[in-house]
Amino acid sequence: MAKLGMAINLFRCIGCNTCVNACKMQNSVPMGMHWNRVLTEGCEVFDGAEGTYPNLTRTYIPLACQHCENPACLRVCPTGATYKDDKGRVEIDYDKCIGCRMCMAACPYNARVFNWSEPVRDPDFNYGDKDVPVRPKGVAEKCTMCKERTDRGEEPMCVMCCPTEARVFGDLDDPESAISKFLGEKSTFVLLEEQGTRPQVRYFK
Amino acid sequence: MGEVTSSRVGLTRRSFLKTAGAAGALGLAGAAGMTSSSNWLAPVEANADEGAEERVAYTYHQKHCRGNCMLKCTVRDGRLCKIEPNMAAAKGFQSVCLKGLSEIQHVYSADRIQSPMKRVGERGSGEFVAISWDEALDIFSENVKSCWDKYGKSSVYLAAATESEISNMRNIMQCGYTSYHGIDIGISNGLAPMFGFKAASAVNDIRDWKNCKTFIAISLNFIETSLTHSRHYFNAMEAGMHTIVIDPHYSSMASKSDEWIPIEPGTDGAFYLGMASSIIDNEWYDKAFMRDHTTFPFLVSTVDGTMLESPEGDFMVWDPTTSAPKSYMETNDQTPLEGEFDYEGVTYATAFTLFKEGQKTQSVEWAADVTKIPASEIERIAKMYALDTPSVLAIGQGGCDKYNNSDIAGHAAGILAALTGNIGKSGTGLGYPGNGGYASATLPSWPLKPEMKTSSFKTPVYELPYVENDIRCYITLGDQIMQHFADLNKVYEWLMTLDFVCYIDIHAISGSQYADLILPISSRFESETEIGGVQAVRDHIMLREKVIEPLFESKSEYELERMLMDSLGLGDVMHKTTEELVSYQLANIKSPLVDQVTIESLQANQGVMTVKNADTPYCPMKSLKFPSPTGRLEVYYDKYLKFNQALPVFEYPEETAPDSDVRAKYPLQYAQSRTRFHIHDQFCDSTWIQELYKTCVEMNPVDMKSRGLSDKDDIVVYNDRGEFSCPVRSNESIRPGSIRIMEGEWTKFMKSGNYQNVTNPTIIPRGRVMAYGPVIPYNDTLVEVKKA
Repeated sequence: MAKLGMAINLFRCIGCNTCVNACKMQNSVPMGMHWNRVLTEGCEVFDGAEGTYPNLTRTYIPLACQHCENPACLRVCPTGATYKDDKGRVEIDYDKCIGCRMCMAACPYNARVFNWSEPVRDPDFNYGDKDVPVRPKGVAEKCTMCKERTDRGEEPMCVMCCPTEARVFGDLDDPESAISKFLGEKSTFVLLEEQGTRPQVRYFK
Repeated sequence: MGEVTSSRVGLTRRSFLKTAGAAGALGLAGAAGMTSSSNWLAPVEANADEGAEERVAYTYHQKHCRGNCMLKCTVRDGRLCKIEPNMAAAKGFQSVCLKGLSEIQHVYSADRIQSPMKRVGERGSGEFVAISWDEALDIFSENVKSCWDKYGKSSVYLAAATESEISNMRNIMQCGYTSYHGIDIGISNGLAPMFGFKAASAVNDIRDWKNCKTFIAISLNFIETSLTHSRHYFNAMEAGMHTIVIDPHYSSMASKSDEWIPIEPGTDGAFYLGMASSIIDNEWYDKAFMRDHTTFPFLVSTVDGTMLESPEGDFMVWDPTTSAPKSYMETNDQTPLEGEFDYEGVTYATAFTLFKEGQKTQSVEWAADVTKIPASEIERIAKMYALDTPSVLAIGQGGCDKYNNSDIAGHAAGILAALTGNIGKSGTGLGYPGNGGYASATLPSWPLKPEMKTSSFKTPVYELPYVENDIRCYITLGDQIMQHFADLNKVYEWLMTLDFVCYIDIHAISGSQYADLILPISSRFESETEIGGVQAVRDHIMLREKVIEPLFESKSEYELERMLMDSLGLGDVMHKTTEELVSYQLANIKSPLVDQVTIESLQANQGVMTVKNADTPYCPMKSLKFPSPTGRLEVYYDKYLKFNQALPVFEYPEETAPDSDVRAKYPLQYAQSRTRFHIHDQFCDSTWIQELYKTCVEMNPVDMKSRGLSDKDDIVVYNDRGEFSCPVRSNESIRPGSIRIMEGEWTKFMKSGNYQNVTNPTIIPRGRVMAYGPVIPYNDTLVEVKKA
């Protein structure tokens, strides 16, 4: 058993979107969808700012599945397609997903996307990791914590590619892991704590 | 919808939903698929067939962003399917960014030039037909030879993008060519004389920033424009570096600094001079450094401003014991830094005395008035820069560099380093940090016959539409039309008068429309042969292996160069294969940092080798022996006496000056910046990038309200030169009175027109004597906007 998790340094995050494309490539995410995206806090426009010129602040928030300990999506899934796996990740059994999208309504982080139509890829082949399953039309999908990579003992692609080294990944249950040691030293927070979802993705500034 | 606020981050439930709108809108585009339920819930299959063949090859990516990312590429069934950082690179250099990753799609872009094409309609009409390479080479050689016969070899001009690896062609063809490219050179024009024109900055390896205490970034958006190097900036901040960003707009860099100080655009020089006055008034300068390592103690005639020289040609300092001048080489601790001295009927003053005198009209209060930064802030920053040391003054190549007064700013910035000694030593730095400070071996170019050199043509290329010249044939490698001219409508008029225009590129960018002949080259991932090239940059030697075959009818750059030279009957002087070139370059590296390197040794290490001492941050001027003739920082520029710029005297930009006549009609300053989503005009066609960013004009809500504009409205940006149209986005980050666009966008992705249709092409006479030629003052442009 393990509890894989991540900590994201919001001061180091420059909103570059490298993690967004790293995820899209690794997981063969079709056009019109992202499993991982970067928000500019409080702004409709990317690279906007909160406040009034010249008294401004800006925080980029990379956002994907929070791999909650108490996942809102899991509770509403009528078929058991969404499950918590033995590494503590929230995963989807695509063969069991009936496309009801209850999970999408339940997720407070809007982390899931849905294949409304036949997935369109540009370029039109299945790029990315060869072991990643291709999701058909009619199923929900989201960040898997790079299941295929982390099963092989590798870091998720967003962690590996982050140009500012803003992401720390590891097993929260292992007191010797880099992330456990890190969380022991840093004060971190979770998004929408009041939702009671207990995310395994933590943030700090 | 209830508003649920997270106490920890101030993120609201609604803000999630709002930003979700972007993803949702994309999702809705596919919602039509709901009408059919066929294939819903089909069984899941693996991404690739079990037996799919995968192989790995290594290459390097773009250099124009200073990224030089070394990449591990996975190819499955002949197609590029995965890109990762090459972990054989040294720690800190293992990098890729969103653009590198987007190459998964971008190499297969619909906007690739797929085959050679010739013009069939009027020039500029954009009507082309595909032709064979044989026909293309015939058209090329016939037209070039015709220009040679009629007007001579220097009538053919070749302009190459920084990204291009083609380097022999312009020499073999003896083309008209200048290194005057009008951009990224303004500050350097002002700094180069300080180093005797042997350098234009004194920049340590950015890993040395961790030794810096006070870091001032001005007109610099480094973490966005050189984003793969950002980690070193944050490492330094975590080590205690205090960062101050001076920028008119709340840039990415500003949002990641300790302090952001907004400044009036085009006034960086006044800010530096205000700092200098503050340092002088408070005597925060380093007298010993100034005496021993600068020309501040040198004697200058108060009559005509010339520097006093001995009969042997040595510059002179005052000797108080003999009451006479002596060679600067005899400087000692008695040598006065200040004073006026009479000698043989002439009064001489030290350069420092003249500078102090001149600064009386460039006081801190004066600088506050010009820059709109309070005097107390200028003084506070000056004190930190001078006393809380070591300090870096990191200056960008956007912002102030795109003004005709940028040389004055560069000179003033150099004087700040000369006053305080914040140069050379560990933890200091002066100038643009993207180029220098790396220990790199130099690769030799292929040896050509001695007479094979570019012509003596000296006119800056962006002046060609305006001055008499002999150029009749323009060959552009990469879109040098959109990227190296302002006021494009005038440029199009000039292009129409030429005999032959040849456009060579990977993608069909806007300038290709004006070509007679278009030739397709391939990307850094494609090669005809197993070895595609080699580069030596940033502490590494990196090999380019073939990842995939050249796509469509494209040719690698080296292959195309050989074909073009063969068509002119000049190919025999070139290497026969790319492998021969690479082997020659590796065998002839002359560098103490490299013992021996071969194609095989590189291939055995994932295509890369680090040079010796790569783990030690490189500080090229730490001995404080500067590369100028005197070995000192030469602060007094007698060469520019006729422009009243022997010492820096601030001048406002022309068009955007406060009292400019143009302001009444066109009140908004038009700034163009570089975005992390593009490298200038590259990646604009990448659909993976387009999902993340679409070009718009950004504007402060105050200026939008007064014009009745709403967020996402299509607007027209215009002045007397021309206009273009695209959406406007409301953004508090933009300084009121200015608008901002990210440069490089192609005309076809705008609503109409090109973003360079309105820009200022004016060259000033002082620019023509500068080391790197005159500046194209893109940001010295005024416009008005209205709803489209």
